[in-house]
Amino acid sequence: MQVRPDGFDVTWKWWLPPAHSSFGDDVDLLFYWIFWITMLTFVGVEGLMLYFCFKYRRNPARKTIYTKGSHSLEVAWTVIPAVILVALGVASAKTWATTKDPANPSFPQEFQTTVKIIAEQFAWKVTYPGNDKEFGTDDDFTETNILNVPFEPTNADGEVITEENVRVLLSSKDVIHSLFIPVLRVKQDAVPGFLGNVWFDCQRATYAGPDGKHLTADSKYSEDGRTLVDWEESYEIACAELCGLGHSQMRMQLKAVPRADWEAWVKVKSDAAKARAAGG
Amino acid sequence: MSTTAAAPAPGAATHADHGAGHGHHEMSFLRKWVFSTDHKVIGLQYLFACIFTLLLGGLLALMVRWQIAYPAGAKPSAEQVQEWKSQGLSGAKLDEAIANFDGDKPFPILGELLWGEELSKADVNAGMVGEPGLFGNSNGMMPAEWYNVAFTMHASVMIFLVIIPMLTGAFGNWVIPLQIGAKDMAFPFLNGLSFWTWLSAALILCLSFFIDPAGISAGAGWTSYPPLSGVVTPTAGPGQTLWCIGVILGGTSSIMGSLNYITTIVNLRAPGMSLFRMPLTTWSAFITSILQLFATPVLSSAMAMLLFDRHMGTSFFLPEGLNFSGVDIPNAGGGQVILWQHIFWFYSHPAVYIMILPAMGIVSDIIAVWSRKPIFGYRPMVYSMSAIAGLGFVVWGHHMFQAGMNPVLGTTFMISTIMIALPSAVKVFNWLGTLWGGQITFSPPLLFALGFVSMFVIGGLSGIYMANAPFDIFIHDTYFIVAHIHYVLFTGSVMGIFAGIYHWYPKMFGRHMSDGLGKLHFWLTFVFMNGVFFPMHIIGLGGYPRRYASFRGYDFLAPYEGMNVFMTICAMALGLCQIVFLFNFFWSLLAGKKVTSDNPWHANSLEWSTTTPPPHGNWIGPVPTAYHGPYEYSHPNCKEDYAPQWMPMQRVYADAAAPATAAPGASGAVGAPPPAPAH
Amino acid sequence: MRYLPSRWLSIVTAATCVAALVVACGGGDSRSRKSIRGRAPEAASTGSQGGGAQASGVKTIDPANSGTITGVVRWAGAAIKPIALDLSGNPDCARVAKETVYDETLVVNADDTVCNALVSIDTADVYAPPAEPAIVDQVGCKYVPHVFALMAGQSLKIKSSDATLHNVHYIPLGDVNQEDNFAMPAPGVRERVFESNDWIKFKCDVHPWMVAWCAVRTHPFFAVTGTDGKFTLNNVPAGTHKLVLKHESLGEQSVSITVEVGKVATQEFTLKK
Ligand code: HEM
Ligand SMILES: [Cu+2]
Ligand SMILES: [Cu+2]
Repeated sequence: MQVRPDGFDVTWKWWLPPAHSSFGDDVDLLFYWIFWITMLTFVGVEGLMLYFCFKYRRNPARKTIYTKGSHSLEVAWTVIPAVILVALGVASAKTWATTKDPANPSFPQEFQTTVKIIAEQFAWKVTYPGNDKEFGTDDDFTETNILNVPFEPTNADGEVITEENVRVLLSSKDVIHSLFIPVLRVKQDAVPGFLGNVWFDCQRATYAGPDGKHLTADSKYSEDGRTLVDWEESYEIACAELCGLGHSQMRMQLKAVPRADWEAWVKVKSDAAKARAAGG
Repeated sequence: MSTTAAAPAPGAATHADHGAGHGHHEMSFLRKWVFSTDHKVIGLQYLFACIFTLLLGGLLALMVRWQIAYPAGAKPSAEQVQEWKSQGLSGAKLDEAIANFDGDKPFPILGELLWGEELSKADVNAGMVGEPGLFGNSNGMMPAEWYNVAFTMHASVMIFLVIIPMLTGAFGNWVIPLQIGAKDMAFPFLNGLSFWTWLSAALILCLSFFIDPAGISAGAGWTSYPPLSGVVTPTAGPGQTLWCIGVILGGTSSIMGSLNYITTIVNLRAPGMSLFRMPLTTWSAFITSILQLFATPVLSSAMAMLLFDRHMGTSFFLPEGLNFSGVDIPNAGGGQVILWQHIFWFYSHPAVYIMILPAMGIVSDIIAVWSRKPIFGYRPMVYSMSAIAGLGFVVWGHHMFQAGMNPVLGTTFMISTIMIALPSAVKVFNWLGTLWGGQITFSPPLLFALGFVSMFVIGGLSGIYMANAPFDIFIHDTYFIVAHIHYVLFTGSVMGIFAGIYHWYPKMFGRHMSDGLGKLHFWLTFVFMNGVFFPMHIIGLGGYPRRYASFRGYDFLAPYEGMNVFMTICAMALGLCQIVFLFNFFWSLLAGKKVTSDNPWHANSLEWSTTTPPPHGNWIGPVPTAYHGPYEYSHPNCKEDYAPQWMPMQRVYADAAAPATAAPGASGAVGAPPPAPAH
Repeated sequence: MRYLPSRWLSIVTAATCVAALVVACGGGDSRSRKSIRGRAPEAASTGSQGGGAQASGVKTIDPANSGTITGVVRWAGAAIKPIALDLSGNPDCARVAKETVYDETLVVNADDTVCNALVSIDTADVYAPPAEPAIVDQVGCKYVPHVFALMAGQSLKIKSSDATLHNVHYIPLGDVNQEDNFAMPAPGVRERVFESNDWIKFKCDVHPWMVAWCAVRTHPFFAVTGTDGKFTLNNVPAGTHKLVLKHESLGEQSVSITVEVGKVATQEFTLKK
């Protein structure tokens, strides 16, 4: 284990990061299927090749096999992979539809939270609809690189207790960016001139109370509502589409917190925005 | 060519008239070696030019890798801090030591030449400025804007100036007419023009580094997605414009080349050389040329539109309301950003196959020769290449899964992409089948060909992960895809290129390259390239995004610092061990062992039938006739383990065991009657 | 088929290259880093009597023949509550910023004066720039100072004192100086020189709140108000001048003022929203 002076553990990591969204495990499951299929193929093919290289190295005493091919083999090694690959494709269609296709029934029908993210070089401007949950009103407020959402509580069996689907209306005002949330298995390009529609749910809060559960709403935000002071942990969001010289620094913090906390935070922010709008 | 007797073979006519006009070696040096129209000379021009551009692209790659491993702003390691503590530093003193810690590592030599003197941290903190370098002054460290230039130009150089011209320009040119028995290309002048057009593209791309005081050439990636590339900004200035022009010229050269290859292969095949008697190298060149002919004009038009958007106020790719850093873009409106991606990938997906099919052809030929076996499944090999080419036109959307296409399209492209893995798999199985039961000699060409096969497997398999649209959500635009690209293109195509060079070198130059150095080159390259590219899969699985100038600041990327440094060290080693190749290549030109036979590898295809190196016009006298397929190795009825295409089988038997039936055939006149060449 | 003479080959090639270059450079002055973007409408309103660069002869300050202008910029609008910025979305900044960062588009001092207002006279005269550089620093994820002025031809040292990446993106609103955009990943210094009168916006695109405004003048008669809202212009040549106040969010005001030798002329400005 190796820890940087600032306390971060930089031990080598070899695998996928944890998945906290409801579809994250489905995505990972596909990975595991492909992983084992390709591993077997890999070992088989490379093993055979090495074996042939060894077995059939030049040896004038051995008779060379003269053959121009085999029809049945050709058919076999076309059809078998075809079946496996098409099966994989069909098996993936549902996950794809769940994550991306609003026309599909497995796409969520209802979104408890909606935010609008307009990407720009090199920051994410997140607009929250405020107390009234309507965009385009005085109590909307916009934060830079701060995506706070309610988390989706689940029981011990992983079943959802209350749905907390978050919809992100995603666009860009200059070049193409891409919203990449590794731990939620979310990635969607923010395309200028086009309002994208991404959704996710986050089933693990970014903090836990002393009892490992949720804290009361008022304990978590500071006096002036600027910062969720104690919500220290956060998930990192990166930009995944080259957008210019600051591409690598286009980072956002995602905090998933209990709904009560989240609403309290929204209220403070939203009230302040409204007051500012009224004050001229 | 020394005889003026006009051979009846098609293609000879061109040579007959000018061959008659002036005898041996009367051409001026300029005409013969510089503005040549001889396909072999042009092929070698491409070869030498590409070795140079390969070095340029490689240098850029090393600079890219260096930046990833050692971006500015390094923090002292835990051990270092511990050491300071044990020296008694604490509190403010320790903070100061940490603040003055200088972990910046400029790229060896070039760093300070390009980006100025490296000052100590204390001097920097005191506000001092060092001597500027060629591209300004950033303390010897590559600035982030130049990092974008570095990887953009690395990819552009490698794709447009190394792999495509090397495979289609150098090998395509040099090999095709010799393998099909033509005296030259169908349009020799067009052939020369194609090279010079390509060279001007190369010069313009190189020039683009020097048109901006800070060396800002194109920096929007080789994919150059607008609006990043479509609006003139300080980081997408004249360099980006030159890049577009260079790519258009490169494409024009490709179009000329492919027209030529297609016409040559269709019309100028030697007597007896039916399509299905062509070696796979030629087949792959044929299929590649068709791909190129259809795809490249699309790229050129996209580039032209991009240029119009940049400089003439159009907005093909610029939607309403674009605003860069608070400044409205006046001509934006009505355009479609995604349109570019459709057009670009409609070219560039076929282009990735343009970059691999010829290598597959070369590798097929080499494996057959060096394992003394007929190609296993010759026709399936041809069909699978055709299938790849056909499917290659309907999979482009897999580059755009996360771009906001209609999700139903995503599913379609997922299925078509999965299907394209099949013909690739078929080819791998057939290569294994070819090795099976052979007499394998581990010469440098075969080692590189086997390297190609084994590494292409990795590249193909990693393609399946990305073809899976839902999982691609996670790995799209991460290092996983960088690993994929390099397994197919570097450990694939480039290995194929090396294999081809080692294989045909004796015919090209009449001398042998050193075998020992070739093997050393192979093993060093093989080990280090895996050291560079394999860990990319791992960091890709961790979500490490591609095209990041720095991982600093991200907690989830910090664990990969060690691996990044490891990859960079391997990359430097990989770069250095190419010196072995360069030495071998150039030294052998002057001092390599002279070839003693025109067919040193006992190969079957027609290029080995002529004198070494082949003369102007390729054959002294008429072109040979192809009596049978190119892969008759170890035929049970022959004494020798090969049966050259230019000799009838009966004659081979006769030479071998003199079976009674073939006795009168010694003159060669009574071969199997060759089928008429297809027209 | 006949061969075209190789001469043609070289001519065609050369022509292609030349054509390419012409097109490349046609889009803009080839060595310049200028962009073709639109300009904000208020662009380059200062120095309207022709940029200083064209004026003949470089003048020198003549203390014997000049006076002083001083004054204060007052705030007449409603009380402004400073808006503290939430840096938690940028942990690097939260780490390097030692104190709370406030929105700086309008800073009103405790005594109801306005901070960060630029006051200068409007003249086409050209004076020699000083040898010492002007300095702007990026510290704690802020540009310090937020508004600054320097002379055309004077060197500007752009510093970063933060151990996090900033990119310096300056967008001149005038037509002569060139836009630029470069990254400063670690503490360091870059140098730039501006050629003519201008009002230049400095941004860090990674930290969108990081903005500074830079005035470039061909003469030294300018000042930026501080925490007391006061300004003083020394050694202003005697005579009548147009005195211009410029504020990034409140716009521009100008008055005519007469300077007498050895005397102090005072002028008060009042701003409100
Ligand atoms: C075996 C079959 C293959 C499959 C299934 C496959 C699949 C894919 C997919 C799905 C992507 C897009 C990934 C993403 O953007 O998220 C991709 C990218 C790419 N592939 Fe392949 N591929 C295959 C073979 C090849 C070959 C043979 C080459 C070249 C010789 C190649 C070169 C590339 C390149 C250059 C890119 C990246 C382009 C970029 O974004 O810069 N692939 N491949
Ligand atoms: Cu971005
Ligand atoms: Cu900044």
